[in-house]
Amino acid sequence: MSSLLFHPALPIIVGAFLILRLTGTARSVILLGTPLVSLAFIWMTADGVLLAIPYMEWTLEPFKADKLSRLFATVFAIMAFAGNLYALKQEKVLELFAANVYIAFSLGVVFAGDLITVFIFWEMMALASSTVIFSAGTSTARAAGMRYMMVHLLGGVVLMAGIAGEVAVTGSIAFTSMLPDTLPRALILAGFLLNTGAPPFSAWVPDSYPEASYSGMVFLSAFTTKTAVYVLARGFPGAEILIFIGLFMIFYGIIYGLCENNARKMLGYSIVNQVGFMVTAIGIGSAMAINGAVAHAFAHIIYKALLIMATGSVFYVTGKRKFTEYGGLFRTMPLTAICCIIGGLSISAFPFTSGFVAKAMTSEAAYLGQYYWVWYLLAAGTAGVFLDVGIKLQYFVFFGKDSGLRPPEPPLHMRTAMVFFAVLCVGIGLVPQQFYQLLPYSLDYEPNTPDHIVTQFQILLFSGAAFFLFLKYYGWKLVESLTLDFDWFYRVWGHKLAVTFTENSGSARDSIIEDLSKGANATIDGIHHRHGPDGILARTMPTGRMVFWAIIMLAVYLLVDFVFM
Amino acid sequence: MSDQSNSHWLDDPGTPKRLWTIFIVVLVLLLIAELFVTHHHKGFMFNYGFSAWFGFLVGGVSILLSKGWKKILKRKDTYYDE
Repeated sequence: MSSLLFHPALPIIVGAFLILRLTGTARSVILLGTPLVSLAFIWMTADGVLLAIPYMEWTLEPFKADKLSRLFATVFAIMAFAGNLYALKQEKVLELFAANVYIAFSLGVVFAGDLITVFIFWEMMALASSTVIFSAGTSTARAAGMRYMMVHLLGGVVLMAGIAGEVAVTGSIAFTSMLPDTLPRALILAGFLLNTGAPPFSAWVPDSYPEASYSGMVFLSAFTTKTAVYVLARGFPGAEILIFIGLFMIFYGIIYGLCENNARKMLGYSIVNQVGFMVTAIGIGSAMAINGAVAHAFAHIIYKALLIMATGSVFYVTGKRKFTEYGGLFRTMPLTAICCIIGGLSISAFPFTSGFVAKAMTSEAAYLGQYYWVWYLLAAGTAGVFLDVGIKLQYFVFFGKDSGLRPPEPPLHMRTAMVFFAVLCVGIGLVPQQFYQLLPYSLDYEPNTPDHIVTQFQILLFSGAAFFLFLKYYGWKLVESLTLDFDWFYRVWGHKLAVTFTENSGSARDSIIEDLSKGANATIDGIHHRHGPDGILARTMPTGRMVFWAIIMLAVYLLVDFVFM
Repeated sequence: MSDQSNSHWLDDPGTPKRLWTIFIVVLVLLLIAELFVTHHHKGFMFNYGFSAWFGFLVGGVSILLSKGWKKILKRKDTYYDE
């Protein structure tokens, strides 16, 4: 039980409660210190089951570690540090509390050794992350937070049904590698996939995350979708259906991202797109592919947080979030622009960035596994991402038509967090072999070969050429609009259905209540009739009648006495 | 915050033309560079120039697809507020 004291989630959850009470420097020390203590715990943790608790006929394993869990935990702790640094002056204490609790629960998921523990932390993550959205405090955030929570609670129900079925069929709660070959396992897979932003529920990501505060979205971008990648990598490597789902996500993210006018929402679509690469890799399932998926998750947490920090900084200093309102911000925000560009190059897998050395393994795995058609689509996806986040985002926010806005750079702590992550993006790209040593499988692979670098530059820059030619000859008309997505079904039709149901069930309810109250009134009236003040059983007798009957009884008594005595 | 006086070398009218020239030179250099590298794998995707034309094609198709998709499903951004 003493091992629980060294669970990496513990420092962060204790810190979350402390920051509710602390202010000033003490709060900053806790915000920055607890992720570092957690990181130390992660690297002190030995492999194997460190805590086992008997529960009914099973054994819960709330603390179990191996290379895969340590890798995810490491990037979660790094993210917690940078996220807390970025949010150091966040005045909404509830957001910081919820975000840190959320991080602790996601560490709970990656160190969970059985399905029940996974489920418990999974659901707690959903509640904590919803609170991060709610704590933005706007009416749109409340509505988006409710939609987010509904979708995730639905996913939780599906996951719980799957786990219950799995236990009923196999009698085991072990969380090990499986295939979706039975209904319960298919339900578990569906529950996990919902958190990746897989179709048809992809829209929850761009719908909810951008409504969080400037710092809230940074936290949200890192944990829910990546714990989902973690559980898929552990639970369903080689499930081929994931290849199709992942590829769909890649192109969904690109097309919707290119259509989008809200910069933060566009990054939401881009999360789905990137997680699509990871899901595809898990579907391929070879050692190289799993390495690719988890390396990509690691790199993605960093560069996506960097991009969201940069656009969050722009949102923080301008209060605006649409491309139609931006333009020319590089003049007064050069550092933010440079950090955003580094994030954009990383996500596009530019050579010598973290994205390049991570994604390269997935393409290599597709080639080696003879999934050539997947290779082509992954290459197309890479080119598409560059158009989206590599060019469109940067061009319309920092360059393009001058909006006349001259906002200052964000405060020092936000700039420091961005520079830290920008350095990591380039650092990982420059020394990939050190990064690869963290991965679950030891493989001999070198991404920085001349042929790979040249062809990668070609695919990206020629794709960029298509964008700039289009821009030059046709222009890129930005309009204040949204593009309908699957969420239309539940936001419009679902709403109509709920209203119709409420109205119809309302009249049915009224008539049932009327019938019941009629029956109840009749019963009460009946009782009242017999037992009420005027009822036959409760009637008061006149005194004269009492005297009369007493005399009669006495007379009978005298008569009996006279006759028989 | 709305001071438009800051001028920058990127605002120079000649800059777009210079950037285009540099960009085209880089693209040509990449095509030349591929002549001097050896591909580690075999297949259609590793033929000379494949990445260049494939990247350009994907870029164009993605833009057209997104424009078409938007044409069909575009709504006012206050659509859900009404």
